[in-house]
Amino acid sequence: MGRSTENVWLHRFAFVLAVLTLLMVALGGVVTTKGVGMSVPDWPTTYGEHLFLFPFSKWIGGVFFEHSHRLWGYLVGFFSAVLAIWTWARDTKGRERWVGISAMILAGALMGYHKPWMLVSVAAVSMFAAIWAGVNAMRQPSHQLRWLGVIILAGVIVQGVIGGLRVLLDEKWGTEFGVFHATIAQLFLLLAGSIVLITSDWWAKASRMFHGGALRRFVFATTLLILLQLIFGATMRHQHAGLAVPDLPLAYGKLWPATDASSVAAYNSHRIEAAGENPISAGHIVIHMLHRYTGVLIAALVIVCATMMFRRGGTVQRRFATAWIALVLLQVTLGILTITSERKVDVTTTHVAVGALTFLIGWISFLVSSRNAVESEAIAANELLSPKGAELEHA
Amino acid sequence: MKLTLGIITAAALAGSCASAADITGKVKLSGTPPPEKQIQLDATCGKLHAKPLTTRHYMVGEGSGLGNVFVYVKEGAKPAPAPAGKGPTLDQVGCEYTPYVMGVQAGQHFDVKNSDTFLHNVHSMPKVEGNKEKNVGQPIPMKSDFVFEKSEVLVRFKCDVHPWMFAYVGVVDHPYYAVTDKDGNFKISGLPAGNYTVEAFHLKAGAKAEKVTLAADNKTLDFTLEAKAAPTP
Repeated sequence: MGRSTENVWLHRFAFVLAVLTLLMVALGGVVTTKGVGMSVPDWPTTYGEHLFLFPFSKWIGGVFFEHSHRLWGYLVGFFSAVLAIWTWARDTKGRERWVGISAMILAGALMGYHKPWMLVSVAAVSMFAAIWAGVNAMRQPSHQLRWLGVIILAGVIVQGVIGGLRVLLDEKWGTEFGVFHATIAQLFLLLAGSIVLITSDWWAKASRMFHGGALRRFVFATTLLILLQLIFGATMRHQHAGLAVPDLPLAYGKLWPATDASSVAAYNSHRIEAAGENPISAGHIVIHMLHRYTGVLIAALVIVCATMMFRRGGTVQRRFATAWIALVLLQVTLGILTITSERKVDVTTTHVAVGALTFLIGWISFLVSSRNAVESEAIAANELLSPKGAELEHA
Repeated sequence: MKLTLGIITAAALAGSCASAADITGKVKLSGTPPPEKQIQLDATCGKLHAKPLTTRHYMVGEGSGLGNVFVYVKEGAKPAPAPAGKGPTLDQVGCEYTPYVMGVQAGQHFDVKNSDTFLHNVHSMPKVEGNKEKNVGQPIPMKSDFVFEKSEVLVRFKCDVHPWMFAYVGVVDHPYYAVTDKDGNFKISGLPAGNYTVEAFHLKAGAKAEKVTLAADNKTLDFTLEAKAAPTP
């Protein structure tokens, strides 16, 4: 990793970005739970006015949350741009440095030009930049951080534009763009968290050996299942049908509720919507049930994974293992409360945020296990060559 | 010549008036509907109401009469051109849509009005191909014009700024429709003689259709819709 990773201020800045991102996810969660994603029907303007000049007196009802969400997006974008420029500047020199920084500043400046065609164009270019940066990050591990900085700036631009397109194309593709926007937000959080980890002192100095190949794969698989669960959740929420199954622990009194037309008609007949939710369909019920049972499965897998991490890993892994178990148990509790409270906004939003954190900790645990696994494979290879090889240690 | 034409016209008019009839009736609700929910208003709207607002899914009045049922001729009526002039107005008053359910003819323009002094946005969400979704901000007291070209029972209107605000507009391609009053009563006027299917449509209690043959006399047609039992044992 070299010099570019050893900077405590960069690490702290990345941490702030990750926290801002998590809050962004929560604010987006409030917007969706309240069903006010279309309270500002235009983009990138707000009721015809520039985003930054929209008068506070008009931030009423749902507009307050949706407009705040957009502004917070620009805040995350600003921090992402600073991080990207910082990591680029630290790892480049001469012409390469200034061309890169100029391109980033230009991208940021163009994002202030509030015409949809401009923002979509910048996002399209950013997507290619992200792909190019990703390839370079894999080819040049010692310069990985600066490429991750490029990806994070490109990512926030793309994410912002997807959010805008969700509004502009609401009639035909509102749900699809909404789910995509929600999923990208989670992946962006992972990226921010990854940068926090790899700029940490621990990452720079981690040298312990850990025979964790199988555990690493298990952690990855569990984390991937959490991503699937997040997609189930986003799909449920962005169909704006409210709570498809109102009771617990059974579902309409059964382990798996009836989803024939007559039963669904009865469910809708008896449901009293207070926020203009769409009628529920069999599909809504199926997604809801998949989300429930996947949640239980994830809880079990995380407990097993984390227990293995605790037994085999060092101090840092034990901390993540503990956090992961605590988060997943909290998440299951919040899921139950979301249903019993009939989707109370604060409970539901916390459920969204804790879900994001659970995903993040799974990913970080995977990276930590990978760090060890890479080193363990290297040391194991060294041992084959030299029987008096490297010393085994557990941190 | 002129006198002949006048006599023929008068006879035709008299004939058409004589063969036009009304269908009146009542829609009742059987069973026990779930209780309405209290609406959580925001600070701006909360100031406008001394008493709590509730949802309006089941408006049951005198004699188990069910209000807000859209009653219309489903089959048998010939499509008619939309009348000139504006249809009824859908109003936003005190952060509530009024009326909750109303009807217009396909192609008939109507206004959605903001009678409040602050922002609402009017978002119509039709599902039938040919009816356009529209989302209009109304930051001040004002009116916006809407029209739906195709029949659709019912088009939902909502306010994205205040999520508890929603209403429904029934669109049919003829003038033979009504919305029941708070006691479930309705009247469809001016139907020519013929065979019809009349449907009573309620968003929660479902729909029921009845065939009716009209001659010169008015008809009475009653419906009973059912509030289904709670699905959770």
